[in-house]
Amino acid sequence: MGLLSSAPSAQSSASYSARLSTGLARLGEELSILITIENAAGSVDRVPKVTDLEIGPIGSPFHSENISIVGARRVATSSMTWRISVRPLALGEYEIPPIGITVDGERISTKPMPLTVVEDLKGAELGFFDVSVSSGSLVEKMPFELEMLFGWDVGMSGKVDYANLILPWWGNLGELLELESPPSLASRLPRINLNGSDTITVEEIGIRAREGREFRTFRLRRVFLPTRPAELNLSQPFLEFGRQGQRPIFGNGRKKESFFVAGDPIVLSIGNLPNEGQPLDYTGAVGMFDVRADVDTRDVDVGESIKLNVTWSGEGNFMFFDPPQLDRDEAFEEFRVFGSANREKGLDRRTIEFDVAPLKDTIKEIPPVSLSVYDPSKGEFTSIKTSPIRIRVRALENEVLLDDDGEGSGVQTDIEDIQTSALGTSGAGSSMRSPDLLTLGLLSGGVLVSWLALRTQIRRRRGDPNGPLERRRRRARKQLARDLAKASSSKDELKALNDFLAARSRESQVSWVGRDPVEHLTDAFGDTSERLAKVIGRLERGAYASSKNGDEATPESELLELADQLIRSGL
Amino acid sequence: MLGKFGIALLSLVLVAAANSPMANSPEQAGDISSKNATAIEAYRAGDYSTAEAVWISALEEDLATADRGQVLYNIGNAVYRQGRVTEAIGWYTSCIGATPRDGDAWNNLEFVRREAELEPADRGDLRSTVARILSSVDRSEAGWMMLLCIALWTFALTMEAVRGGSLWRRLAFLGFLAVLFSSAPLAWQLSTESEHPEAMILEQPAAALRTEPGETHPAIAQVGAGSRVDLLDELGDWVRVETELGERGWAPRSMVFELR
Repeated sequence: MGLLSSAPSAQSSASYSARLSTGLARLGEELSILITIENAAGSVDRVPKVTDLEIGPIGSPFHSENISIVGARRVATSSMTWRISVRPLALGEYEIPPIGITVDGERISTKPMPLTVVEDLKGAELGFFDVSVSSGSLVEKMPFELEMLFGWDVGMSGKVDYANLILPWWGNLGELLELESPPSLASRLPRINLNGSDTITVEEIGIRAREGREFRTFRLRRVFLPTRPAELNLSQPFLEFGRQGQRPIFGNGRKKESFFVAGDPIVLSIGNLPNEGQPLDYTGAVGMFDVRADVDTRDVDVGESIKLNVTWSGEGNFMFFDPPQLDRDEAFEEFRVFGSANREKGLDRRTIEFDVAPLKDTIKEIPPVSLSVYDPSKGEFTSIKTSPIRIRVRALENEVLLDDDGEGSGVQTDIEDIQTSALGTSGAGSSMRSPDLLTLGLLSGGVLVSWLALRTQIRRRRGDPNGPLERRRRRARKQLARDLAKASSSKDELKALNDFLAARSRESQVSWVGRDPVEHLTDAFGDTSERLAKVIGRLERGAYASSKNGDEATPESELLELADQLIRSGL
Repeated sequence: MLGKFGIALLSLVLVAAANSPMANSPEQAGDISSKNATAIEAYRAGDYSTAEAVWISALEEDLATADRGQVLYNIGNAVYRQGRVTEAIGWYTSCIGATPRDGDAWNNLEFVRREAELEPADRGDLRSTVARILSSVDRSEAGWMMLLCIALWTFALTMEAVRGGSLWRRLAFLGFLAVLFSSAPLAWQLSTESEHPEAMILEQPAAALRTEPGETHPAIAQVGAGSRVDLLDELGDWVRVETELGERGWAPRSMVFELR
């Protein structure tokens, strides 16, 4: 280290280079423009645009620095390398124009780079890529499905360990709103690369024969809703497949053998939905529709509900149109329409259940349900109708047929009769005065303030009223009665009385043992304290007498009466 | 403590009782009863105009709220039988204002509104339902109901202060909620109350409001039949009204029904 730092150092002169990773590329293959600036600060200004070549974007450069000793001199070199991806989208001879770079503040242009793009004949032989659109006539507000089928020869299966879908237009379809994809029935849903930097789930649909050969086949489906008329060019998609070996322990590169197969570019012409000729009952349906209807019952009484299920299927915007309004349909004027509900709403069908009831027994069929639809294949509005459904409507027994106004023979609706209760017995109205909202509001406020004051006062004086001492105090009288009922001697009665006194005075259970009540209780108790002292003295004599003869029983009622007197006196 | 509170609560009830309605004097009661009997007799005989006139004269008496509602309802029936459908709407609306839970009045109101091809008084949407619930008690009932809730809340608060504990705390909170909810009808009625007398437009399909009283003055707004307006002023056969949208103008008195 000391030798290195003491050696005279030299900085190499500035230089740059620009080259294409290969001058001969296969269609769909990704190659690179490598621009290196050595021993100088620099930048790549912008990349040129070339028709049918997807170039860029410019990423961050790769920096490297190298120090070497040459003839006892330390030589330091540094370099910055930009890798700009290039993907050819069509066959042909190309020339990538000069690229502007800046080296130490000086603007320089690279030399033009020729590129020849040839078809990957082997890839086209071993793989296939088909792109199709579900409908030939696209119109705004009508969803369509874009299906991509691709795969490779079954014989290649052991030699293929990666696949990359190259869809240059993916994520750039501003006029199209992607809807939920149709459900997949495939047993395998592998994820493959998308545009080299992302992954996507595709359906593996097994082995398919194609021109006498068998291919391992995959499918990618997406449903789009065109939001406005437009002409969209979906450029040529590619499938890259092959084998990329294990990454070597030493070195960077891995051996990669890949093949490319191109799909056809697609042009989507999205027409507009005309206003001219739009029927008054049009509810937004666009597509090529089929319709059928069925009912849950065909033999009903007058007024009985029939569930009429109408299913539209085919191609169209089944999720986006409103159901026809049968209650405004003249054909249903002899029916009562209770409402409708969606029973099925999917990409390829829509089922709506109408709840209708025949109002007359002369009705023989449920009339056709019509829906106005714009048919893009014909370019005009049409009316799709169900077939009439024969039904039998029975008159109700003792029925009074109602006409449209709810009136019928012999029955009419009318106002309720007058009220004939006697007046003047329930009191005069003017004296029925209730407090007004202001008074009630003030009263509520007063209640709240009083409660806060009372609560604070009580807690300040006696602590938490829900605390154990307060609860014991409140229960003391009941507890005394219970204890006295169980007491069998003066000793038990003395203990019960002491417990009572302790609970009422919020003290521990033994605090009244041996205490003189006359000294302890205030004057407010008056004679009660002397009476208490006598009773306690009598109980103590009985409890601690040497013989049973000294144990004089004290009536329970006397003790309870004394307890009540103590409570009244404020204990 | 509880004994004192009980006394306070009892006092409250006694005060409430002291404010309760006093019965009419026997003479007055007899007069009202006799008018009612006369009107009913005329109505049954098909003399609806006499019945209407007698019941309207009974309205001048100091009637209890329930009696007032009954008379307004019966006038509505008498007016309807004479073919004045939109005016009947006004009488039934007045009746519901006095006795909001009168089912017959609601039935007849909706019936005559349907007959007059007006939208229902109770449209069944959320706003109408809430309004009908809040106005289903009259001012007096709402006041007493709230007072009762305050009394219960006071009891729960007192017990919470004296006894403490989570039970009384929860009951006090419930009491507070009860006071809050019971104040809603009163607050609603105060918020919808107008300082001016209320009226209803009778003219089918709409009445024109003019800048000044007189047919020659320009019309500045149209108010549909059945719409509620406030009466601001009157001049001869013209009244000045203000609509719910704040439009003010003059309309002929015959096109406007003053709600009682």
